[in-house]
Amino acid sequence: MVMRTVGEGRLSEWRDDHGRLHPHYAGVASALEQLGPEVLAERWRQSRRQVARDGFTFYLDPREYRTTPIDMLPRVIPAEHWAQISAGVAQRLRAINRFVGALYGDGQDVVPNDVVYSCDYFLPEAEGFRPPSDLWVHIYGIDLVHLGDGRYVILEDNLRVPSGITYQMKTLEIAARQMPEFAEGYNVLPYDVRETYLELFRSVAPDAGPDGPVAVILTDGKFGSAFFEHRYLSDLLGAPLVEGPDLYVGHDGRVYARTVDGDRAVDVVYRRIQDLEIFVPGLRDAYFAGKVALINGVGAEVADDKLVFLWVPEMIRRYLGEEPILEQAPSHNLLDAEERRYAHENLERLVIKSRRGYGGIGVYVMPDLGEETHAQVRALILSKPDEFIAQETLDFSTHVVYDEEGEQLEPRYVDLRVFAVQDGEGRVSVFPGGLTRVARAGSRVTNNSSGGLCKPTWVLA
Amino acid sequence: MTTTNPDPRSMELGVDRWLTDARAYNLLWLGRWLERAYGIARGLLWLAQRDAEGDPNLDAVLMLHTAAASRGMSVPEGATTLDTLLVARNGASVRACLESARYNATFVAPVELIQNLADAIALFEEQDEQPATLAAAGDLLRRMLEILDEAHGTVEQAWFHSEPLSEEEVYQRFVQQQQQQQQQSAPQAAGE
Repeated sequence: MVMRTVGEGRLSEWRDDHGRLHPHYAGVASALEQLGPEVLAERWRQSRRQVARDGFTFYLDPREYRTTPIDMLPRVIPAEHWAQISAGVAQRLRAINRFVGALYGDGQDVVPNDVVYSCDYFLPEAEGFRPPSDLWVHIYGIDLVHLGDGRYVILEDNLRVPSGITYQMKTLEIAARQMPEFAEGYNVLPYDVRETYLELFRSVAPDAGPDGPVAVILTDGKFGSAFFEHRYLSDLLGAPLVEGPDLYVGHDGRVYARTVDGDRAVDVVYRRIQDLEIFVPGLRDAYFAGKVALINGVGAEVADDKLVFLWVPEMIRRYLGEEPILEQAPSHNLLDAEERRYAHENLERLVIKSRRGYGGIGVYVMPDLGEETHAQVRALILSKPDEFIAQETLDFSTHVVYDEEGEQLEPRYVDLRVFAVQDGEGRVSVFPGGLTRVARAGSRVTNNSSGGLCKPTWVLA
Repeated sequence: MTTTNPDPRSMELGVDRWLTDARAYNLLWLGRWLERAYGIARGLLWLAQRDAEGDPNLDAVLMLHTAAASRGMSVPEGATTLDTLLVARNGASVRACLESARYNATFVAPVELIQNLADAIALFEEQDEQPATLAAAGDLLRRMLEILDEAHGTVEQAWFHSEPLSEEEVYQRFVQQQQQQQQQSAPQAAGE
């Protein structure tokens, strides 16, 4: 017998269309049955306790200390699915890196100029600049949904300060500690974030000396929504956590950290903020002068724009001479009159996204919204067509979360944020699994900023 | 299942842990919030003890109000003084002080200290109803202080020498530092 599921979700990753459990969940389901509701309730309670004790937080409101909600039932990705995902993510990263290089270098003709120049993240100051090894994108996050049968579709690219890698790690760690029974009999692909990041730091600052580069993590402070990640990475990598006022650019153009024991030269700044010049005046110029390595580099943000996203498949064809491995959600450019008319006529079945939005902010899933909001969004895109894109609403997969009180499984929409790192040698590492984000009940918006859960994600070896 | 990454620990406050502005700020406030929590807790415990002993000269209400006033707090309409000192979200109750300390700890402290603080805060969160009497408050605060004593051990282990240096050792260390500074400045002076 397999635990009862309340209201079967469409495109379930837990069961097939005939209600049969997918074979790769047999071990997990068996552990669920054997442990029984009382033990499960206690383990789930313990997991919340551990989340609270370890300070595993994600703040929705900086005034409110909020722990990260997790569900310990793992999402299992079969090896053949992962082979396709990792190849597609690496391909996309390489193409975007080439595009950004061309944009600020010899010029590009893939993305129309009106799109590039209307992009908030386009940086004229970067024109003519060439980063070491032509490396613009170091750390890349990509949001995918599963449409069933191993078909994964990209919703957006994150190139500014993609966060979540430590949420992936911490969720996995807590689930492994509290529910070791789930993992029995599974062979899951390992990964090493620490070594990959340290190798990245070393490769972007090759002249740092025999002891390796001095790297810091630049944070916006302890009230930032993903501050847990900044702190966790600082501990994991041994890189001091600094705020803007801790850094300054010296007369020699180098970046220094002020400490009680004197100023310390910094070789690599892993920045977890967008507005560099506000936090550390002169930091961007120090980067352009080759005095410091920035991760991510300045300029790559342009490909974070939701409208530039439309041309990534063409970037892959043009710069790599390959066909895209992963599909992306069909999207519409509202700067184009024909597409704008299409969006107006079909608004009620589209998703409208702000070009510069992040974390679920500025995302309107129209089928889930009422008439009043429809009118407001219609007016919004009419008055500001250059600030939004329209995307087809996808019917993507659901997974199950365990409801301790009801002693049952509950279907919820899930997406997958996958992280990749490109080092100074051009090697791309895609961390197996990624962060599975679970929407709140009744919602399709899965971002942590919208109050969703995190779920451990395994890739079968 | 294969393990992925080691548990990160922030215990290694070694030579490469820089004392920056941000760290100093958070260390300062971590200490101040904890000191406040201790101060109120000790005062309330003393009061609870005198109350339990039946001290005829004890005016508990007056003393609670005095304790609140000394922290710059007034007791809001409908609230008790005990609530105000113990659990209110006023920035100065024991619970609020611990919660503020935890924010600073997330920036600067080892994960063990964050865990200690979470345990202390959980004492308040897990109460079905907040203590209504001095005796109940005393029980709660005694348990809280036990946890904070563990936190002291954590801090001691992480940030300070576990064994104090003798006067001779302190002097030897000072002499070594002086010599090092002289050696560092000598070539510079010769160059000038």
